[in-house]
Amino acid sequence: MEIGRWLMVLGLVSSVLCVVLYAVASRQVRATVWARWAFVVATVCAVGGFWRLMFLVSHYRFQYQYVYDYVSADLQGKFLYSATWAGQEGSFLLWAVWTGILGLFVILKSGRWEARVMPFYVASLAFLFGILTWLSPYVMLTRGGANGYPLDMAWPPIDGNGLNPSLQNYWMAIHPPTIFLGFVGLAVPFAYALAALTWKDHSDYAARSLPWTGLAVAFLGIGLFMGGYWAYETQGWHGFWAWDPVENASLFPWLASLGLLHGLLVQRYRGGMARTNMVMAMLGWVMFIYGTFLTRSGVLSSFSVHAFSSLEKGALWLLIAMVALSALASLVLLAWRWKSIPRPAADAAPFSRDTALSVCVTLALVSSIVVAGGTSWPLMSRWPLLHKVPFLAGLTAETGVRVEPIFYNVSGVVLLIPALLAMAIVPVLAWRKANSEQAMWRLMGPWFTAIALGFGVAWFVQHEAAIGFKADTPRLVVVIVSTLSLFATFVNVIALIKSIRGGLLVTGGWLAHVGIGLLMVGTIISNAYEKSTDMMLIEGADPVKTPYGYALQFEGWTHDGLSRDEVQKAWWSFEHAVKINVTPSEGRGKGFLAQAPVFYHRQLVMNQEEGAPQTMRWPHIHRELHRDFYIAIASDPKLVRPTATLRPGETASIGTPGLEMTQYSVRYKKIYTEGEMASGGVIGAEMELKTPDGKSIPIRPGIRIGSAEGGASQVNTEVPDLNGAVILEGGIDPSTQQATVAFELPDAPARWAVPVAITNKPAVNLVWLGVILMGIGSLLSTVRRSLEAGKGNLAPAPGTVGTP
Amino acid sequence: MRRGYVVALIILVVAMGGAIYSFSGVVAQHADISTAISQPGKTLQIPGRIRKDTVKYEIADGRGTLRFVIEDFVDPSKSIEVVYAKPKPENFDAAVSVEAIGEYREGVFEAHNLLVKCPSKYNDQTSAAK
Repeated sequence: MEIGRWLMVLGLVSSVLCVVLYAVASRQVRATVWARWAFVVATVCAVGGFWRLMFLVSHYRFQYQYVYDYVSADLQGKFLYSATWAGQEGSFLLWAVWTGILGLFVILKSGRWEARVMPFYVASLAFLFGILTWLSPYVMLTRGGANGYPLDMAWPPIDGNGLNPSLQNYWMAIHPPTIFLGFVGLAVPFAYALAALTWKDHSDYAARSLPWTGLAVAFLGIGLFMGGYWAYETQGWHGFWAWDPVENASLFPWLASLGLLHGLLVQRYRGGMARTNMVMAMLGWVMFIYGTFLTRSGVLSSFSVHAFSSLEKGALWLLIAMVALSALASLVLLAWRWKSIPRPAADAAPFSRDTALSVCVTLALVSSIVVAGGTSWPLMSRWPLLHKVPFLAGLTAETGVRVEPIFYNVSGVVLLIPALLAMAIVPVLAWRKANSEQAMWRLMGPWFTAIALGFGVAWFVQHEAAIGFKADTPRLVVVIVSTLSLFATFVNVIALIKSIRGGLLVTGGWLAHVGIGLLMVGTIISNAYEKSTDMMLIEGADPVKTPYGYALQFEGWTHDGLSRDEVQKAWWSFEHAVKINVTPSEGRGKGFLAQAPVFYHRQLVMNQEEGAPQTMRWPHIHRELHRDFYIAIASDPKLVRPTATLRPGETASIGTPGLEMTQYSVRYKKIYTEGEMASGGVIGAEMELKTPDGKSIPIRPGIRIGSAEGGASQVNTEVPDLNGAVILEGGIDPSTQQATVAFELPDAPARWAVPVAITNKPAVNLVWLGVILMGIGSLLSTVRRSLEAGKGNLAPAPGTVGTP
Repeated sequence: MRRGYVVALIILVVAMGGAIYSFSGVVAQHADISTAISQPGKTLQIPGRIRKDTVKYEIADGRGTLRFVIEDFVDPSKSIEVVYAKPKPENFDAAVSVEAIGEYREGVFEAHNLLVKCPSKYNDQTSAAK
C-alpha cells in the first residue's frame, strides 16, 4: 500500500491513542510523556503525509487520481504548492498539518492545562485523519470500465487535468495556509473552554485563551481578504465581496472569534463575561466546522457561484459527526457546568468600558449568527416547521430559498452603526466606571474632525446624485456609516499615539481598530459609488470615451506579428492578452496600455485525448491613489465581419457596426429555395455585390436546413472573382424575408470586437490600507498577549485605564 | 452589564426585522419555466438548460445585455428567453445549464442573477459513457 495511506492510518491510531493517553494523564501525570509522544507521531504523520503528497504532485505522478485531477505537465514549479491543497483531500491535509504544528505550541504553552486541554484539541486531529483515511489523496486512477482511465492509453498517464488557471495565482498560493492557520487557532480556545468547564477551573482561562484567539482573528481576517483580493483580481466580479456561501463560511467564524477576543479582554481585566465567552469559544469552532460542512458537502451547490464538489459519503459522515459531536459536547458541558462558571457582581456603571465592550461583543456575536443564518437559509427554509411561522412563510420553500445580498447589507448596516459608535467610544472609557464629562471632552476633537470630513462625504454623495448617478445604498446611510467610521478611526489614532509610550506591542489593538475604520469607509464608498459601463471595442475604430476620464481603443493582441503556428500556441498562455490603449479623454494625466488576459484553458475529459478549450478572461486593474479603473473583458472577443441587413428589392452599404462603411454595397434581388425543406433543402438570397471599382458580382448565399447532422449549414459562400466569402447570418426571416449577410472581402476584412466592462471604483485603496493595518495590529496584539501569558501574568488584572 | 444585553437585544431585533423585511421583498422561490410565465413580476429562481445557439451578447448605450433561451430539463418544449443586463459571467461559455433569478416581464425573463452550472469532469464522463 502507498506510504501516504499508511501515514494516515498511523496518524489516526496515534491521535486516538493520544486522546486516551492525555485523558489518563489528567489523573496519572506519568502518562503525559507517552501522550506527548503519541502527539508527535501524529504530527509527523500529518507533515509526512503532506510531504508525500507534495512529492507526488511535484514529480508529476499522474497515475494518482489527485495528481491527475489537479496537476498538468506544464504546471509551473511555484504553483505546485497550490496544487497540493487545491482539492478537498489536500486541504484537509493542510488543516491536519496546522493542527499538528500548532498543537506542539499548545503543549509548550499550556503548562498545568496540558492534559486537560489536549484531549479536546487532539480529537479534531483524529477526525481529520479519519476523513483522510476515507478520502485518501493517495489513490490510484481506476483503469478501464465506463468511468475509468482508458486501458488503451499510455500508463502512467503523461498528463493530467491541470490546475484551474484562476488558482494559479499568487494569492491562492498563500490564502489557504493563512486561513487554515486561523481556523486551527479557533480549536485552542474551544479546547480550553471545554477543559475549563470539565475541570471547573476558570482562574486563568481568559489570559491563556487570548493569544490563541488573537492568532485566529489575525490570520482569519488576513486570509479572508486575501481571498477577496484574489476574487477581485481574477474573477472579474468588479468587487471583493459577494456574500457567497464560500466567503460567508469563513466570515461567520471570524465574527464569532472577534466577539470572543473582546469578551476575553473583559474577562481578563474585570472577570466578567465568563459565560458568554464559553458560549463564543464553542460557537467559533463549531461554526467553522459547520461552515466547512456547508461548503464541502455540496448541499449549497445550487445557491452559489462557486463550483462545489461534493464530499465522498464516508468522509462526509465523519465531518457531520465532527460537527455534531463538537456541538453536543459543548451543549452538554454548558448545561452541566453552567452554574459553576464564575459570575462576578455586576458592579460596572452603564457608562464604562465594561458595558461598551459587552455591547461590542454581543454585536459581533449577533452579526456572526445573522451571517450563519443567512448562509444556512437555503437549507433551513426547507424545514416544513418554518413554513408555518407567519412572517417567514414567504421566505420558505421545499426546494430552499437563496438569501439575496440585501439581507446581509441591511442587517450589516444596522449592526455596524452601533458597533462603530462603540469602537469610537471604548478608547476613552475607563473600566468599571468612567468619568462621562471627561470622556466627552476627549471625544470632541475626533468627533468634529469626523463631522468635517463627513461633510466632504455628503458633498461627494450630493455631487454624484446631481450628475445623475443613483446609488443603490441610501445616501444617508453612506454619510452616516462613513462619518462614524472616520470618527472611530480618529479616536483610535489618538489612543494609538497615546499608548505608543507603552511600547509598540501595546498599540496593536488600536491599530487594528484604525484599520477597521478605514476598511469600512472604503467598503461603503467603493461599493455604493462604483460605476460600470459596458462598451464594444472594435479593431480600427476611434477611441471610445468612458465617463471616468479615460478613452479606450483596441490596440491589438499580444500575439500580433507572430506566425500562424506561434499564434495558435500563444492562445494557451496566461500572458495572451488583449491590448487596450487607454488615453486620458480630457487632456490631463497620462495614458497607459492595458493588457487584459484572454486565453484558452484545456479541460481534459478522462475518456478523450483532447478536452474542449474553455476561454478564461482576467481583468486589468489600473490603480490610482483615489480609485481603481477596472477593465474586464465582458465576453469572448469575436471576429466580426462587415454586414448588411436588408429586404428584397433594397440596396445597402456594407459595414461593421461602429466603423465607417466600406466602399462595397449589396443589392437583394429575391429569395430562392432549392429542394424539400424537410430534408436538406436550401433557402437563400439572390444578391448582387457592387465593388468599389463598379463591378457587379452575383452571389447566392444560402442555408441548408435539416441536414444529416441536424443543424443548419451555410452553402454557396464563395464570392467569385474576389477570393472573398459571404454567409447568411441568422438566416432569413420567413415573414419579412429580411436577411443579414456577412462578408469577408479583400479590403474589408473581419475585425476584432472586444466587449469590455469598465468599473470605476473610488476609495478602494482605503479597503486594502485598512486590511493591512488591521492585520498588523491584530498580529501585534497577539504577540503581546502571548508574551503576557508566557511571563505568567495570568491572573485577572485590576482595572487599568488606558490598556485595551 | 445587563443593560448592555438589553441594548444588544434591541439592536438584534431591529437588524433582523429590517433584514427580513427587505429580504422578503426580493426573495427568489424556486419554480419551473411555466410557473414563471404564469406569475409575471414575481421574483423566482428557475433552472434550465441553455440553448447554445441562442446566446447573444449585445452592447447599447453603455449597457451590455446577455440574451439566451433556456429550456426545461424534463420537457424541452418549454422554453423562455432570459435577458441579463450585466457582463457575461466568467464561466458562462462552458456552462450547460443555469439557474436564473429574476422576474418574468413582457415575454422575457429579466434575470438579475445567474448561477452558472459547469459540467464537472465526472458528469462529462457519464454523458460520454452513454
